[in-house]
Amino acid sequence: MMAGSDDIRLRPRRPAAAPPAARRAELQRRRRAAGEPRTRMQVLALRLALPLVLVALWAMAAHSPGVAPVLPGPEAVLATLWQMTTSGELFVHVAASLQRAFAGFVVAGIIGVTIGLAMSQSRLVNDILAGPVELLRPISSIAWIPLAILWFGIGFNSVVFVIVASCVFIILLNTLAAAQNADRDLVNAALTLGATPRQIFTKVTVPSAMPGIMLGLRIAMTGAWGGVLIAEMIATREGLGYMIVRAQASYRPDIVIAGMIVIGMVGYALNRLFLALQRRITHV
Amino acid sequence: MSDRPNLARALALGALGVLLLIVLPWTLAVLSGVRPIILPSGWQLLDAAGFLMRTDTLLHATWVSLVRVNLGFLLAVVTAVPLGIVLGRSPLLFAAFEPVVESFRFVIPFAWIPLAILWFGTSEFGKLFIIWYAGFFVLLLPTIEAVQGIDKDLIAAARTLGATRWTIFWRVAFPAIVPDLLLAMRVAFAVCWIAILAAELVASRAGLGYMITDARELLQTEVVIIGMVVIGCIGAIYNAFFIRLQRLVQY
Repeated sequence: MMAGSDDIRLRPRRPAAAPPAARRAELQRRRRAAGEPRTRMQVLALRLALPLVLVALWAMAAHSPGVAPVLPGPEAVLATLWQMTTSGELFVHVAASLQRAFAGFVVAGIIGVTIGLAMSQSRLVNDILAGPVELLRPISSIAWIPLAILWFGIGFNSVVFVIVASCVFIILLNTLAAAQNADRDLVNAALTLGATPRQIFTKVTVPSAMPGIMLGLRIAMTGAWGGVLIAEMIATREGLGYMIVRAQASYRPDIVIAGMIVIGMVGYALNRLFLALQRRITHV
Repeated sequence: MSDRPNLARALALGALGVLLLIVLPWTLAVLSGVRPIILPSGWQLLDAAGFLMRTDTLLHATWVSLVRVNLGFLLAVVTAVPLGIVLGRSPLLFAAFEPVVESFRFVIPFAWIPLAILWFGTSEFGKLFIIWYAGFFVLLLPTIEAVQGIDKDLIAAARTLGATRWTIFWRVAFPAIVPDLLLAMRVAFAVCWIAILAAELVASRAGLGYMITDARELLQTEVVIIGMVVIGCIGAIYNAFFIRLQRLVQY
Protein backbone atom coordinates (compact mmCIF):
# COMPACT_ATOMS: atom_id res chain seq x y z
CA MET A 1 0.00 0.00 0.00
CA MET A 2 2.59 2.49 1.14
CA ALA A 3 5.02 1.55 -1.57
CA GLY A 4 2.29 1.89 -4.16
CA SER A 5 1.35 5.41 -3.19
CA ASP A 6 5.02 6.34 -3.03
CA ASP A 7 5.47 5.10 -6.55
CA ILE A 8 2.71 7.29 -7.86
CA ARG A 9 4.12 10.34 -6.16
CA LEU A 10 7.60 9.73 -7.54
CA ARG A 11 6.57 9.28 -11.11
CA PRO A 12 7.15 12.36 -13.27
CA ARG A 13 4.08 14.37 -14.19
CA ARG A 14 2.18 13.13 -17.23
CA PRO A 15 2.71 15.09 -20.42
CA ALA A 16 -0.13 17.33 -21.58
CA ALA A 17 -2.87 15.75 -23.67
CA ALA A 18 -1.84 14.82 -27.22
CA PRO A 19 -2.23 17.68 -29.70
CA PRO A 20 -5.24 17.54 -32.04
CA ALA A 21 -4.83 15.97 -35.46
CA ALA A 22 -4.45 19.22 -37.37
CA ARG A 23 -1.70 20.45 -35.08
CA ARG A 24 0.02 17.07 -35.21
CA ALA A 25 0.09 17.14 -39.01
CA GLU A 26 1.51 20.64 -38.93
CA LEU A 27 4.22 19.54 -36.49
CA GLN A 28 5.13 16.59 -38.68
CA ARG A 29 5.31 18.79 -41.76
CA ARG A 30 7.63 21.14 -39.95
CA ARG A 31 9.79 18.30 -38.74
CA ARG A 32 10.10 16.95 -42.25
CA ALA A 33 11.07 20.38 -43.52
CA ALA A 34 13.77 20.50 -40.87
CA GLY A 35 15.09 17.18 -42.15
CA GLU A 36 14.02 15.15 -39.12
CA PRO A 37 13.27 11.45 -39.55
CA ARG A 38 9.61 10.48 -39.73
CA THR A 39 8.77 7.09 -38.34
CA ARG A 40 10.09 5.09 -35.44
CA MET A 41 11.64 2.55 -37.82
CA GLN A 42 13.49 5.25 -39.69
CA VAL A 43 14.86 6.64 -36.44
CA LEU A 44 16.02 3.18 -35.40
CA ALA A 45 17.68 2.54 -38.76
CA LEU A 46 19.36 5.92 -38.58
CA ARG A 47 20.70 5.30 -35.10
CA LEU A 48 21.98 1.82 -35.98
CA ALA A 49 23.63 2.82 -39.25
CA LEU A 50 26.80 4.49 -38.01
CA PRO A 51 27.63 1.95 -35.29
CA LEU A 52 27.21 -0.87 -37.83
CA VAL A 53 29.43 0.94 -40.35
CA LEU A 54 32.08 1.46 -37.68
CA VAL A 55 32.04 -2.20 -36.62
CA ALA A 56 32.26 -3.24 -40.30
CA LEU A 57 35.24 -0.90 -40.81
CA TRP A 58 36.86 -2.33 -37.68
CA ALA A 59 36.39 -5.88 -38.96
CA MET A 60 37.78 -4.97 -42.39
CA ALA A 61 40.78 -3.20 -40.91
CA ALA A 62 41.46 -6.10 -38.57
CA HIS A 63 41.46 -8.63 -41.38
CA SER A 64 43.60 -6.69 -43.80
CA PRO A 65 47.16 -8.04 -44.00
CA GLY A 66 49.73 -6.54 -41.67
CA VAL A 67 47.28 -5.16 -39.11
CA ALA A 68 46.17 -8.41 -37.52
CA PRO A 69 48.50 -8.56 -34.50
CA VAL A 70 47.74 -5.04 -33.15
CA LEU A 71 44.04 -4.95 -33.99
CA PRO A 72 42.04 -8.12 -33.37
CA GLY A 73 38.63 -8.22 -35.05
CA PRO A 74 35.31 -7.72 -33.24
CA GLU A 75 34.68 -11.48 -33.21
CA ALA A 76 38.05 -12.16 -31.54
CA VAL A 77 37.35 -9.52 -28.89
CA LEU A 78 33.88 -10.94 -28.27
CA ALA A 79 35.34 -14.43 -27.94
CA THR A 80 37.88 -13.16 -25.41
CA LEU A 81 35.16 -11.31 -23.53
CA TRP A 82 33.06 -14.46 -23.41
CA GLN A 83 35.96 -16.62 -22.30
CA MET A 84 36.92 -14.17 -19.53
CA THR A 85 33.32 -13.95 -18.38
CA THR A 86 32.80 -17.69 -18.18
CA SER A 87 36.13 -18.29 -16.45
CA GLY A 88 35.17 -15.70 -13.84
CA GLU A 89 38.45 -13.82 -14.33
CA LEU A 90 36.62 -10.69 -15.44
CA PHE A 91 34.48 -10.54 -12.31
CA VAL A 92 37.51 -10.62 -10.04
CA HIS A 93 38.86 -7.49 -11.74
CA VAL A 94 35.51 -5.72 -11.99
CA ALA A 95 34.76 -6.45 -8.34
CA ALA A 96 38.18 -5.19 -7.24
CA SER A 97 37.80 -1.95 -9.20
CA LEU A 98 34.24 -1.33 -8.04
CA GLN A 99 35.13 -2.02 -4.43
CA ARG A 100 37.98 0.51 -4.48
CA ALA A 101 35.99 3.11 -6.40
CA PHE A 102 33.13 2.73 -3.92
CA ALA A 103 35.39 2.96 -0.86
CA GLY A 104 37.11 6.09 -2.16
CA PHE A 105 33.84 7.64 -3.23
CA VAL A 106 32.23 7.10 0.19
CA VAL A 107 35.22 8.55 2.05
CA ALA A 108 35.35 11.55 -0.30
CA GLY A 109 31.58 11.97 0.00
CA ILE A 110 31.65 12.05 3.81
CA ILE A 111 34.61 14.47 3.92
CA GLY A 112 33.36 16.68 1.09
CA VAL A 113 29.74 17.02 2.21
CA THR A 114 30.67 17.58 5.88
CA ILE A 115 33.28 20.24 5.16
CA GLY A 116 31.12 21.86 2.48
CA LEU A 117 28.16 22.17 4.86
CA ALA A 118 30.41 23.43 7.67
CA MET A 119 31.87 26.09 5.36
CA SER A 120 28.39 27.19 4.29
CA GLN A 121 27.30 27.72 7.90
CA SER A 122 30.17 29.85 9.19
CA ARG A 123 32.09 32.71 7.60
CA LEU A 124 35.09 31.99 9.83
CA VAL A 125 35.26 28.31 8.93
CA ASN A 126 34.77 29.23 5.29
CA ASP A 127 37.60 31.78 5.21
CA ILE A 128 40.04 29.57 7.10
CA LEU A 129 39.41 26.46 4.99
CA ALA A 130 39.28 28.37 1.70
CA GLY A 131 43.08 28.81 1.75
CA PRO A 132 44.08 25.15 1.94
CA VAL A 133 41.25 24.12 -0.39
CA GLU A 134 42.27 26.60 -3.09
CA LEU A 135 45.90 25.55 -2.67
CA LEU A 136 45.29 21.81 -3.01
CA ARG A 137 42.44 21.87 -5.52
CA PRO A 138 44.44 22.58 -8.71
CA ILE A 139 46.77 19.62 -8.09
CA SER A 140 45.33 17.02 -10.42
CA SER A 141 44.49 13.60 -9.02
CA ILE A 142 47.14 12.01 -11.25
CA ALA A 143 49.87 14.00 -9.56
CA TRP A 144 48.97 12.40 -6.22
CA ILE A 145 49.69 8.86 -7.45
CA PRO A 146 53.48 8.80 -6.92
CA LEU A 147 53.12 10.40 -3.48
CA ALA A 148 50.36 7.94 -2.58
CA ILE A 149 52.66 5.04 -3.45
CA LEU A 150 55.48 6.53 -1.38
CA TRP A 151 53.12 6.94 1.56
CA PHE A 152 51.00 3.80 1.40
CA GLY A 153 52.91 1.42 -0.85
CA ILE A 154 51.38 -0.56 -3.68
CA GLY A 155 47.80 -1.66 -2.99
CA PHE A 156 44.31 -0.82 -1.78
CA ASN A 157 45.18 2.21 0.38
CA SER A 158 47.08 4.00 -2.38
CA VAL A 159 44.25 3.58 -4.85
CA VAL A 160 41.62 4.76 -2.38
CA PHE A 161 43.74 7.78 -1.49
CA VAL A 162 44.02 8.75 -5.16
CA ILE A 163 40.25 8.38 -5.64
CA VAL A 164 39.56 10.55 -2.60
CA ALA A 165 41.96 13.17 -3.97
CA SER A 166 40.27 13.03 -7.37
CA CYS A 167 36.72 13.59 -6.15
CA VAL A 168 36.68 15.28 -2.77
CA PHE A 169 36.97 18.84 -4.11
CA ILE A 170 34.17 18.45 -6.66
CA ILE A 171 31.86 17.22 -3.89
CA LEU A 172 32.98 19.90 -1.46
CA LEU A 173 32.55 22.84 -3.83
CA ASN A 174 29.18 21.66 -5.16
CA THR A 175 27.90 21.15 -1.61
CA LEU A 176 29.16 24.57 -0.56
CA ALA A 177 27.58 26.34 -3.53
CA ALA A 178 24.30 24.46 -3.10
CA ALA A 179 24.06 25.21 0.62
CA GLN A 180 24.97 28.87 0.13
CA ASN A 181 22.29 29.26 -2.50
CA ALA A 182 19.59 27.72 -0.31
CA ASP A 183 16.41 29.69 -0.85
CA ARG A 184 16.63 32.90 1.25
CA ASP A 185 12.87 33.32 1.34
CA LEU A 186 12.42 29.84 2.76
CA VAL A 187 15.04 30.48 5.43
CA ASN A 188 13.40 33.81 6.34
CA ALA A 189 9.96 32.22 6.42
CA ALA A 190 11.25 29.51 8.76
CA LEU A 191 12.87 32.19 10.95
CA THR A 192 9.61 34.13 11.13
CA LEU A 193 7.82 30.98 12.19
CA GLY A 194 10.26 30.67 15.07
CA ALA A 195 12.53 27.87 13.82
CA THR A 196 15.81 27.36 15.66
CA PRO A 197 19.08 27.55 13.65
CA ARG A 198 19.38 23.80 14.01
CA GLN A 199 15.89 23.28 12.59
CA ILE A 200 16.62 25.65 9.72
CA PHE A 201 19.77 23.71 8.90
CA THR A 202 18.18 20.25 8.92
CA LYS A 203 14.73 21.18 7.58
CA VAL A 204 15.48 23.98 5.11
CA THR A 205 19.14 24.29 4.11
CA VAL A 206 20.02 20.63 3.65
CA PRO A 207 16.86 19.64 1.74
CA SER A 208 17.09 22.61 -0.60
CA ALA A 209 20.81 21.95 -1.17
CA MET A 210 20.15 18.28 -1.96
CA PRO A 211 19.89 18.58 -5.78
CA GLY A 212 23.23 20.45 -5.90
CA ILE A 213 24.89 17.95 -3.59
CA MET A 214 23.62 15.02 -5.66
CA LEU A 215 24.88 16.64 -8.85
CA GLY A 216 28.33 17.05 -7.30
CA LEU A 217 28.28 13.42 -6.18
CA ARG A 218 27.37 12.21 -9.67
CA ILE A 219 30.17 14.18 -11.33
CA ALA A 220 32.53 12.93 -8.63
CA MET A 221 31.51 9.35 -9.30
CA THR A 222 32.70 9.64 -12.89
CA GLY A 223 35.93 11.02 -11.46
CA ALA A 224 36.18 8.11 -9.04
CA TRP A 225 35.76 5.59 -11.86
CA GLY A 226 38.52 7.30 -13.86
CA GLY A 227 40.71 7.62 -10.79
CA VAL A 228 40.46 3.95 -9.89
CA LEU A 229 41.52 2.88 -13.40
CA ILE A 230 44.58 5.07 -13.66
CA ALA A 231 45.63 4.31 -10.09
CA GLU A 232 45.26 0.58 -10.75
CA MET A 233 47.47 0.84 -13.82
CA ILE A 234 50.33 1.85 -11.56
CA ALA A 235 49.66 0.89 -7.98
CA THR A 236 48.04 -2.56 -7.80
CA ARG A 237 48.09 -6.17 -8.86
CA GLU A 238 44.41 -6.58 -9.78
CA GLY A 239 41.44 -4.61 -11.08
CA LEU A 240 40.41 -3.51 -14.58
CA GLY A 241 43.15 -0.87 -14.87
CA TYR A 242 45.79 -3.44 -13.97
CA MET A 243 44.18 -5.99 -16.28
CA ILE A 244 44.52 -3.86 -19.42
CA VAL A 245 48.03 -2.61 -18.64
CA ARG A 246 49.08 -6.19 -17.99
CA ALA A 247 47.48 -7.29 -21.27
CA GLN A 248 49.35 -4.52 -23.09
CA ALA A 249 52.67 -5.69 -21.60
CA SER A 250 51.99 -9.29 -22.61
CA TYR A 251 50.85 -8.16 -26.06
CA ARG A 252 47.17 -9.15 -25.90
CA PRO A 253 45.24 -6.37 -27.67
CA ASP A 254 42.07 -8.49 -27.54
CA ILE A 255 42.09 -8.36 -23.73
CA VAL A 256 42.87 -4.63 -23.82
CA ILE A 257 39.87 -3.88 -26.05
CA ALA A 258 37.61 -6.27 -24.11
CA GLY A 259 38.64 -4.43 -20.95
CA MET A 260 37.87 -1.07 -22.53
CA ILE A 261 34.40 -2.27 -23.47
CA VAL A 262 33.77 -3.45 -19.92
CA ILE A 263 35.08 -0.14 -18.54
CA GLY A 264 32.65 1.76 -20.75
CA MET A 265 29.72 -0.47 -19.81
CA VAL A 266 30.39 -0.22 -16.07
CA GLY A 267 30.75 3.56 -16.38
CA TYR A 268 27.46 3.75 -18.23
CA ALA A 269 25.70 1.53 -15.68
CA LEU A 270 27.05 3.58 -12.77
CA ASN A 271 25.82 6.77 -14.41
CA ARG A 272 22.34 5.35 -14.99
CA LEU A 273 22.18 4.00 -11.46
CA PHE A 274 23.12 7.36 -10.03
CA LEU A 275 20.67 9.25 -12.24
CA ALA A 276 17.87 7.00 -10.95
CA LEU A 277 19.04 7.52 -7.38
CA GLN A 278 19.27 11.26 -7.91
CA ARG A 279 15.72 11.42 -9.25
CA ARG A 280 14.46 9.41 -6.29
CA ILE A 281 16.17 11.50 -3.64
CA THR A 282 15.54 14.94 -5.09
CA HIS A 283 11.87 14.30 -5.87
CA VAL A 284 10.87 13.01 -2.44
CA MET B 1 31.18 48.94 -0.55
CA SER B 2 33.13 47.33 2.26
CA ASP B 3 34.68 44.87 -0.18
CA ARG B 4 38.29 45.76 0.55
CA PRO B 5 38.42 45.01 4.27
CA ASN B 6 36.44 41.84 3.60
CA LEU B 7 38.94 40.73 1.00
CA ALA B 8 41.85 41.47 3.31
CA ARG B 9 40.17 39.52 6.08
CA ALA B 10 39.47 36.57 3.79
CA LEU B 11 43.07 36.55 2.54
CA ALA B 12 44.49 36.76 6.07
CA LEU B 13 42.25 33.95 7.31
CA GLY B 14 43.04 31.90 4.21
CA ALA B 15 46.77 32.27 4.90
CA LEU B 16 46.13 31.36 8.54
CA GLY B 17 44.29 28.24 7.36
CA VAL B 18 47.24 27.22 5.17
CA LEU B 19 49.62 27.77 8.09
CA LEU B 20 47.48 25.85 10.56
CA LEU B 21 46.38 22.96 8.37
CA ILE B 22 49.31 22.42 6.01
CA VAL B 23 52.51 24.12 7.18
CA LEU B 24 52.16 23.38 10.90
CA PRO B 25 51.40 19.63 10.62
CA TRP B 26 54.16 19.31 8.02
CA THR B 27 56.71 21.05 10.27
CA LEU B 28 55.66 18.98 13.28
CA ALA B 29 55.98 15.79 11.23
CA VAL B 30 59.48 16.75 10.07
CA LEU B 31 60.55 17.78 13.57
CA SER B 32 59.27 14.55 15.06
CA GLY B 33 61.61 12.66 12.77
CA VAL B 34 59.47 11.38 9.90
CA ARG B 35 61.77 9.93 7.26
CA PRO B 36 62.44 12.30 4.33
CA ILE B 37 61.09 9.63 1.99
CA ILE B 38 57.65 10.24 3.50
CA LEU B 39 57.90 14.00 3.99
CA PRO B 40 61.03 16.00 3.18
CA SER B 41 61.74 19.21 5.05
CA GLY B 42 61.48 22.67 3.52
CA TRP B 43 65.27 22.87 3.16
CA GLN B 44 65.39 19.58 1.30
CA LEU B 45 62.68 20.89 -1.03
CA LEU B 46 64.64 24.08 -1.75
CA ASP B 47 67.80 22.08 -2.27
CA ALA B 48 66.06 19.78 -4.74
CA ALA B 49 64.46 22.75 -6.51
CA GLY B 50 67.90 24.34 -6.93
CA PHE B 51 69.29 21.10 -8.31
CA LEU B 52 66.37 20.70 -10.74
CA MET B 53 66.84 24.25 -12.00
CA ARG B 54 70.60 23.86 -12.46
CA THR B 55 70.26 20.65 -14.42
CA ASP B 56 67.34 21.94 -16.52
CA THR B 57 65.37 18.80 -15.64
CA LEU B 58 62.29 20.65 -14.45
CA LEU B 59 62.18 23.18 -17.29
CA HIS B 60 62.62 20.47 -19.89
CA ALA B 61 59.91 18.27 -18.38
CA THR B 62 57.52 21.22 -18.14
CA TRP B 63 58.23 22.25 -21.71
CA VAL B 64 57.61 18.75 -23.07
CA SER B 65 54.29 18.41 -21.22
CA LEU B 66 53.13 21.88 -22.23
CA VAL B 67 53.86 21.32 -25.92
CA ARG B 68 52.01 18.00 -25.87
CA VAL B 69 48.96 19.28 -24.05
CA ASN B 70 48.63 22.42 -26.19
CA LEU B 71 48.95 20.48 -29.45
CA GLY B 72 46.47 17.83 -28.37
CA PHE B 73 44.04 20.43 -27.09
CA LEU B 74 44.21 22.43 -30.32
CA LEU B 75 43.63 19.24 -32.28
CA ALA B 76 40.55 18.54 -30.18
CA VAL B 77 39.23 22.07 -30.69
CA VAL B 78 39.62 22.08 -34.48
CA THR B 79 37.93 18.69 -34.81
CA ALA B 80 35.21 18.83 -32.14
CA VAL B 81 33.92 22.37 -32.69
CA PRO B 82 33.20 22.09 -36.45
CA LEU B 83 31.66 18.64 -35.99
CA GLY B 84 29.60 19.97 -33.08
CA ILE B 85 28.32 22.86 -35.20
CA VAL B 86 27.31 20.50 -38.01
CA LEU B 87 25.62 18.05 -35.63
CA GLY B 88 23.89 20.87 -33.79
CA ARG B 89 22.41 22.21 -37.02
CA SER B 90 21.19 18.93 -38.45
CA PRO B 91 18.79 16.81 -36.37
CA LEU B 92 19.26 13.99 -38.88
CA LEU B 93 23.04 13.79 -38.47
CA PHE B 94 22.68 14.26 -34.74
CA ALA B 95 20.37 11.24 -34.51
CA ALA B 96 22.88 9.22 -36.53
CA PHE B 97 25.92 10.22 -34.46
CA GLU B 98 24.37 10.21 -31.01
CA PRO B 99 24.67 6.46 -30.25
CA VAL B 100 28.35 6.44 -31.24
CA VAL B 101 29.12 9.57 -29.22
CA GLU B 102 27.20 8.23 -26.24
CA SER B 103 29.04 4.91 -26.22
CA PHE B 104 32.53 6.37 -26.66
CA ARG B 105 31.86 8.99 -24.01
CA PHE B 106 31.90 6.33 -21.30
CA VAL B 107 35.16 4.74 -22.42
CA ILE B 108 37.27 7.13 -20.36
CA PRO B 109 40.53 8.45 -21.88
CA PHE B 110 42.72 6.54 -19.41
CA ALA B 111 41.34 3.27 -20.77
CA TRP B 112 42.90 4.12 -24.15
CA ILE B 113 46.42 4.39 -22.77
CA PRO B 114 47.37 0.67 -23.08
CA LEU B 115 45.90 0.46 -26.58
CA ALA B 116 47.71 3.65 -27.60
CA ILE B 117 50.95 2.06 -26.42
CA LEU B 118 50.25 -1.07 -28.45
CA TRP B 119 49.46 0.97 -31.55
CA PHE B 120 51.95 3.79 -31.38
CA GLY B 121 54.56 2.58 -28.90
CA THR B 122 55.78 5.36 -26.66
CA SER B 123 55.90 7.82 -29.57
CA GLU B 124 54.35 11.29 -29.49
CA PHE B 125 51.42 10.04 -31.60
CA GLY B 126 50.08 7.96 -28.74
CA LYS B 127 50.18 10.86 -26.31
CA LEU B 128 48.56 13.28 -28.77
CA PHE B 129 45.85 10.71 -29.39
CA ILE B 130 45.07 10.40 -25.67
CA ILE B 131 44.90 14.19 -25.19
CA TRP B 132 42.79 14.64 -28.31
CA TYR B 133 40.38 11.92 -27.20
CA ALA B 134 40.12 13.38 -23.70
CA GLY B 135 39.28 16.84 -24.99
CA PHE B 136 37.12 15.82 -27.94
CA PHE B 137 33.96 14.67 -26.17
CA VAL B 138 34.15 17.35 -23.48
CA LEU B 139 34.04 19.90 -26.33
CA LEU B 140 31.64 18.13 -28.68
CA LEU B 141 28.55 17.80 -26.49
CA PRO B 142 28.46 21.42 -25.22
CA THR B 143 29.05 22.69 -28.77
CA ILE B 144 26.08 20.69 -30.04
CA GLU B 145 23.91 21.96 -27.20
CA ALA B 146 25.04 25.54 -27.75
CA VAL B 147 24.15 25.41 -31.46
CA GLN B 148 20.79 23.79 -30.72
CA GLY B 149 20.09 26.54 -28.19
CA ILE B 150 20.65 29.47 -30.56
CA ASP B 151 17.66 31.80 -30.58
CA LYS B 152 15.71 30.90 -33.74
CA ASP B 153 14.06 34.33 -33.84
CA LEU B 154 17.47 35.99 -34.11
CA ILE B 155 18.32 33.91 -37.18
CA ALA B 156 14.91 34.60 -38.69
CA ALA B 157 15.33 38.33 -38.08
CA ALA B 158 18.73 38.35 -39.77
CA ARG B 159 17.30 36.45 -42.72
CA THR B 160 14.42 38.92 -43.05
CA LEU B 161 16.96 41.72 -43.15
CA GLY B 162 18.54 39.99 -46.15
CA ALA B 163 21.68 38.52 -44.56
CA THR B 164 23.43 35.73 -46.47
CA ARG B 165 24.12 32.36 -44.85
CA TRP B 166 27.77 33.26 -44.22
CA THR B 167 26.83 36.56 -42.63
CA ILE B 168 24.30 34.83 -40.43
CA PHE B 169 26.87 32.25 -39.37
CA TRP B 170 29.70 34.67 -38.60
CA ARG B 171 27.69 37.61 -37.28
CA VAL B 172 24.77 35.92 -35.52
CA ALA B 173 25.19 32.21 -34.85
CA PHE B 174 28.90 32.05 -34.02
CA PRO B 175 28.93 34.97 -31.55
CA ALA B 176 25.92 33.39 -29.86
CA ILE B 177 27.80 30.17 -29.05
CA VAL B 178 31.18 31.70 -28.12
CA PRO B 179 30.47 31.98 -24.35
CA ASP B 180 29.43 28.32 -24.20
CA LEU B 181 32.45 27.33 -26.30
CA LEU B 182 34.86 29.09 -23.95
CA LEU B 183 33.34 27.39 -20.94
CA ALA B 184 33.66 24.03 -22.68
CA MET B 185 37.26 24.84 -23.62
CA ARG B 186 38.10 25.62 -20.01
CA VAL B 187 36.74 22.28 -18.84
CA ALA B 188 38.33 20.47 -21.80
CA PHE B 189 41.76 21.91 -21.13
CA ALA B 190 41.61 20.76 -17.52
CA VAL B 191 40.70 17.27 -18.71
CA CYS B 192 43.51 17.30 -21.31
CA TRP B 193 45.99 18.34 -18.63
CA ILE B 194 44.98 15.37 -16.48
CA ALA B 195 45.12 13.04 -19.49
CA ILE B 196 48.65 13.97 -20.54
CA LEU B 197 49.94 13.48 -17.00
CA ALA B 198 48.28 10.07 -16.91
CA ALA B 199 49.76 9.11 -20.28
CA GLU B 200 53.21 10.27 -19.17
CA LEU B 201 52.89 8.38 -15.91
CA VAL B 202 52.21 5.09 -17.68
CA ALA B 203 54.18 5.41 -20.90
CA SER B 204 56.78 8.05 -21.42
CA ARG B 205 60.42 8.96 -21.08
CA ALA B 206 59.85 12.70 -20.72
CA GLY B 207 57.44 15.24 -19.29
CA LEU B 208 56.20 16.17 -15.81
CA GLY B 209 54.21 12.95 -15.38
CA TYR B 210 57.35 10.93 -16.15
CA MET B 211 59.45 13.14 -13.89
CA ILE B 212 57.33 12.42 -10.83
CA THR B 213 57.03 8.63 -11.41
CA ASP B 214 60.74 8.42 -12.05
CA ALA B 215 61.41 10.37 -8.84
CA ARG B 216 59.05 8.04 -6.98
CA GLU B 217 61.02 5.01 -8.13
CA LEU B 218 64.25 6.67 -6.97
CA LEU B 219 62.54 7.60 -3.65
CA GLN B 220 63.12 11.31 -4.29
CA THR B 221 59.99 12.57 -2.55
CA GLU B 222 61.22 16.19 -2.82
CA VAL B 223 61.12 15.98 -6.60
CA VAL B 224 57.64 14.40 -6.52
CA ILE B 225 56.31 17.29 -4.42
CA ILE B 226 57.97 19.96 -6.57
CA GLY B 227 56.45 18.31 -9.63
CA MET B 228 53.02 18.36 -7.99
CA VAL B 229 53.38 22.07 -7.25
CA VAL B 230 54.34 22.86 -10.84
CA ILE B 231 51.46 20.73 -12.15
CA GLY B 232 49.01 22.54 -9.88
CA CYS B 233 50.34 25.97 -10.87
CA ILE B 234 50.06 25.29 -14.59
CA GLY B 235 46.51 24.00 -14.18
CA ALA B 236 45.57 27.08 -12.16
CA ILE B 237 47.18 29.48 -14.66
CA TYR B 238 45.31 28.01 -17.63
CA ASN B 239 42.08 28.02 -15.63
CA ALA B 240 42.54 31.70 -14.80
CA PHE B 241 43.37 32.43 -18.45
CA PHE B 242 40.14 30.87 -19.71
CA ILE B 243 38.08 32.62 -17.01
CA ARG B 244 39.64 35.91 -18.20
CA LEU B 245 38.65 35.11 -21.79
CA GLN B 246 35.12 34.26 -20.69
CA ARG B 247 34.78 37.62 -18.89
CA LEU B 248 36.17 39.44 -21.90
CA VAL B 249 33.51 37.96 -24.14
CA GLN B 250 30.66 38.64 -21.78
CA TYR B 251 31.09 42.41 -21.92
